[in-house]
Amino acid sequence: MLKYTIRRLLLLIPTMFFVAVIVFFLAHAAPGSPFDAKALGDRSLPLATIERLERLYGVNKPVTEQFVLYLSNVARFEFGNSFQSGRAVTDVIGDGFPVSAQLGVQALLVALALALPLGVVSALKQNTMIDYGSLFFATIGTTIPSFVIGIFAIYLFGVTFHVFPFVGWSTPMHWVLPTVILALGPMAFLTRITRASMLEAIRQDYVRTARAKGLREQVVIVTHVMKNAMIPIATIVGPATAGLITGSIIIEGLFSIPGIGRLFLQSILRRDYPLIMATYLLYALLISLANLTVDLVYGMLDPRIKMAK
Amino acid sequence: MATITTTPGKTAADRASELNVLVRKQRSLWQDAWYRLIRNKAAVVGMIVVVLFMLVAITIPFLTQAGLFKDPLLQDTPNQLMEPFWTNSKYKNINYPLGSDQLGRDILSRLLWSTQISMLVGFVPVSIIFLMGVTIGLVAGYYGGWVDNILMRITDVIYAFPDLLFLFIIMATLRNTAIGDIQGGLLLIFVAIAIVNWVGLARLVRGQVLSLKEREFVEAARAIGAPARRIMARHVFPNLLAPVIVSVAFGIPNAMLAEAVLSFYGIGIKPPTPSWGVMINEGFTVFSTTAWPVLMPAMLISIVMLAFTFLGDGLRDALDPRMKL
Amino acid sequence: MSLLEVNDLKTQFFTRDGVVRAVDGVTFQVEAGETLGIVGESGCGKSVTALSLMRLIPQPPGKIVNGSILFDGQDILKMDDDDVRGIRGNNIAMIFQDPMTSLNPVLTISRQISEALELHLKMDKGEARKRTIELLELVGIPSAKKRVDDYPHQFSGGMRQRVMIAMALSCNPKLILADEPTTALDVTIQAQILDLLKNLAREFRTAFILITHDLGVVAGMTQRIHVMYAGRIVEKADTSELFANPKMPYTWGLLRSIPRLDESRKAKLLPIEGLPPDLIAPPPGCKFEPRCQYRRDICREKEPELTTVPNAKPDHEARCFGTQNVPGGGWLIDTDFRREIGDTRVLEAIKQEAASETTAADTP
Repeated sequence: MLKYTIRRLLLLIPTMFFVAVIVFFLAHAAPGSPFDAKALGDRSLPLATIERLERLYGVNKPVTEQFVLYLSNVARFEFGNSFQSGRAVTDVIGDGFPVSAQLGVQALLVALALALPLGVVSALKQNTMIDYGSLFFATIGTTIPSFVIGIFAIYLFGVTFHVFPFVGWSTPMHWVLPTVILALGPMAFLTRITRASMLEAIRQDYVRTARAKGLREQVVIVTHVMKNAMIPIATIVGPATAGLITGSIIIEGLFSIPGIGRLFLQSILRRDYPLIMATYLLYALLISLANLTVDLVYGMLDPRIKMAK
Repeated sequence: MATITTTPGKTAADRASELNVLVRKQRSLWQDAWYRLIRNKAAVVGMIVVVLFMLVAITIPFLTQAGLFKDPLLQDTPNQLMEPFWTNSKYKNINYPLGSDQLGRDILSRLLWSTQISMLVGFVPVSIIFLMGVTIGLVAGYYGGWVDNILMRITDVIYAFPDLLFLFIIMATLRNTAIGDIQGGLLLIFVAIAIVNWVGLARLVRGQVLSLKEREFVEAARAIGAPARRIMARHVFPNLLAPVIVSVAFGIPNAMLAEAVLSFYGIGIKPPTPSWGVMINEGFTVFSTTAWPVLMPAMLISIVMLAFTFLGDGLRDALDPRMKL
Repeated sequence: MSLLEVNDLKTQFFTRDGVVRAVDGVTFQVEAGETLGIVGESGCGKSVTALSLMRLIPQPPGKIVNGSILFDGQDILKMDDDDVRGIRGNNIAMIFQDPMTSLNPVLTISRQISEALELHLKMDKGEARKRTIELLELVGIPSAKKRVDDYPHQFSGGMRQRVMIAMALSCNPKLILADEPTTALDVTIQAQILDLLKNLAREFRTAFILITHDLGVVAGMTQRIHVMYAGRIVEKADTSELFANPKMPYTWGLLRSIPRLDESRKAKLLPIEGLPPDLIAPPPGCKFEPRCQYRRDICREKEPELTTVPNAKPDHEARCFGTQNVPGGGWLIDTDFRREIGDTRVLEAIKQEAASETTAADTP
């Protein structure tokens, strides 16, 4: 198990390298430089200043040379300074990361706390009102894009009824709407998966064997069925995390939350290369770690896999 | 499978009428699936809605030319931000039944013209994905070896890229280049969506091929000397179709959603071409004045996505009722 | 009083295409300590009968609509759910066909066997574990003490079936239902498992109902055999009597279709032509009539009763007008089935009908 983990962690390095290559060259493929009028939002600088800045930041060198330079800096853990604010990239990200992390974790917890029981109950009471209700809700959640639901929610709870504030992240009241909206997508997805997983597990032969031994239905469900049903669900948490990460970009944009999602958007639009690279690498790392965790957890839960490692 | 037994001198039909019994119809696999699909009311509703939207997308240019609808690009600033006809506002104009945006453009016609973009974005990238994913998946799965290895490494790398993020980067960076100028940014969107999503389908197809390869009917085909290409086309491919069809059915709304999100953030379709995402983006700036320019495209997106989802679910249930997802 | 008395059991499944009469009036008894074989083709209702005995039929779409099942004098069908659960695994146990899927892959076998012990015999964890190891040794699992904490996937097919047998035996049931216990196993393993069952039956004086489609399996294992077809019992006899002197054309067909080592190479296999009937709309008369080479008009009109037949042992019953001594019947009483294969014209007609049905079934 340990060897497998180490091997996977080592594999991350070439993956990150490829990610870095592609993103770097894409970002530099955009026409114009970070300092011309469009990028800085119509605050045009005199040409001489632009040229000086470009020389200072090395932006006028050939792209491959810039990339090598970048890599050597990264190896020393120097990610450069943001073009927009001049602050160190690590500082900027350090400010935004806790906010986004909090948003993400909250949303994940909410999603799990609601989806798992809903999915289980819905499977056990198949084809009843509860089942149809949760299926309906799950469909809405996975179909309608989160920013649309976010807009509706802002309109309803923010503008019309003034229940929740929807700009910023200052008070716990500010946390409610973004967390719930972000959680909706994963929640709907998880509900469907849980329900399907339970239904599949219940149909298995070993459930018949358990009943033939005279066990109470409750014991059959909890001990025999759920233990098997939860395994595929654990694996879904990985992609769900990825969904949370991308969803947070949208939600942060919508609710003006000062997290790395919003940072990412801005940095792309303003061609802030150091920031783009750093945030993208961070995202790729998080997702790879999430996938790795899922594989490990799956191995721990399913004895058939545990042995094989 | 026999449904009724007979005696000498009498046909099954005779015997059936003798016994006053309904003989169960014999159906092919596809007809079976079709009947199951039809029985699913939600799927049927979804299908009707989708067909309706496709009709609108096809006919809207002619209808507009015939004068039925206003020009979606025509600006008319004195008539800006009119409210839809069912409100009690004094800012109403019967010429703009669903209201107008901040440049005085008719919302109704812009909504309808957006269906073209949505349908294009839905179907074109998905066709590319289908062709790429299925061919590569088939080859990788059937031949194995280094082709398979390379495919798996590529998919590993691409999996590390969350699709939306990658889409953002591609669109944001390449939008203002030469490629991004073709067809108002459409070609770039097609290519971007296709690049990001073909991997999933290729992996799915590869997995299916791997399991089908071991089945007896493939062995039998090989035993009578059928060449690999023929086996892949005639035997393996038809058995793949079911999950592939479902994947495609869900890929279409995914693509449409991607375009809507990109346009919402201003890195999708280039204005003034209308798309629902673009309309939401533009409407968001006047959200506090009037919410209708945002709400209406939002509702339409929801309806179309729901329709495709119901249809996709129905297809999944019809093609393999055991997969009760 | 018999250990088990089943009277006119009817179990049906309510489907979109109609009501499937899977078990359509089955009556039999099992005495303490005896092994009864129930034989028949796939779909004849034998598994459903066994599941009905323990009330394990899934409640939609299935339903036990008629009959009584008296176990030790008490009617299982009239008990409430808690009492039935008290019997399952405890007084009556079941061994299922496929040991690969019938064991829970994420629980150790120690856990799966101890469950029943803790539930029914109220043992604590320590006692249950000790008893589990004893049971595993009893059924022939080597190094039982080490393997007791293993998972099902770490055992081979034959070993897994032994585990299932151990599970069934754990609470010393009076009756064990074995549903095709060896069908999923290799032939050599089959023989071992059957031997094991036979020894256990003798040692613990457990009654067995052995359900199978394989006549070879029941030949060496049972004292009595019941043959089932289309949801009904069509012949009842002692084992040796059934093989020596069968009295029902279906049984004749079964025995004739077994290839024999001492046959001449030129001899053709004689299958039973045709297919089992549709259980939603079965034929009105004898259910086997459409495939029977010895049929006469009366077979299509009425269904024969299951009664004793002449030229046979006193408790030998068969459901056939031809072999019964009834008005309008009796034309098969003196027939030696090994020599006479019935009217060849009828045989041709059956073959033709079977062929036309299969082509009709293939056209969409």
